[in-house]
Amino acid sequence: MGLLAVVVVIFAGIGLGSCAVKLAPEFDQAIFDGLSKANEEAMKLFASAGSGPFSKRAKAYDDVIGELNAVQVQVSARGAPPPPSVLVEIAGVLGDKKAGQKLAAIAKPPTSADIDNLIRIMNAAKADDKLGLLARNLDFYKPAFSLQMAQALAYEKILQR
Amino acid sequence: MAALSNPGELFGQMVQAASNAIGKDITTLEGFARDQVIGIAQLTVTLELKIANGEFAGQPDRQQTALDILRSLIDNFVNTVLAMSIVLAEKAWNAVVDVAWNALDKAAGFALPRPSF
Repeated sequence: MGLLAVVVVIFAGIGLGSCAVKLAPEFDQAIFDGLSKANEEAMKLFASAGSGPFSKRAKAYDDVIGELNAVQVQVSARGAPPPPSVLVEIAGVLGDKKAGQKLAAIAKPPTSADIDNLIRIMNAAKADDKLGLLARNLDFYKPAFSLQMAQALAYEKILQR
Repeated sequence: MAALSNPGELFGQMVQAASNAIGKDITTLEGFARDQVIGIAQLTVTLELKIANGEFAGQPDRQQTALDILRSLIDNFVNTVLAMSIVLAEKAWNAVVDVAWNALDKAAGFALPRPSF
């Protein structure tokens, strides 16, 4: 409760002293659903990794990657709110002329980078599958994909406010 | 003139409002972070074993891709925790401003415009 009290005092001061700002993007159901669908397809694909030749799964890889690319476009179109003007002003007073850019980079929503890594994982799994190496590396690709997807979904979920 | 708020009571209301707004999310964030750290540690050991067992011998590109995946996973985890904390800050801010403006409304005798988020 002590830490929470400190947070309250800080935000009460900022909130009363200036205009409040929006700090994160709006929740977008289509982005959340797109990620969920890609996750489902990827898990089915990983489950079938040991059976049959690569050619039977090639399209499934492309489908997952295509779905992730489509969500990436939606994430880009959503954009992000600018950093709080009060923080930019404070940093500017302290002498940092690039405060706006730096704060924007810090406050950048992580979903886009999450999707980049999900696509990287799928491409690597696809390449290994083509070489007949996937079955023994599934213990890396599958948890890597799951952990990365959990990050993306956890962030998108918390935007539902 | 309307009675002024008691600073202690107002503070208590603000703490309670912020707690109501983000208390559950903090628990979720803690669980998420714990699961991620455990998962990333296990994945690191898996990759360590693969490198030690020669899985990538003579294939430096494949090894580099695996390292890039792990590195991005860790970077993105840190950024996700930061970004989720920013959302919690926004929610706490919103809740505290709401309590403050409710008190100000009473003093003004009418609804003052809320700060826009």
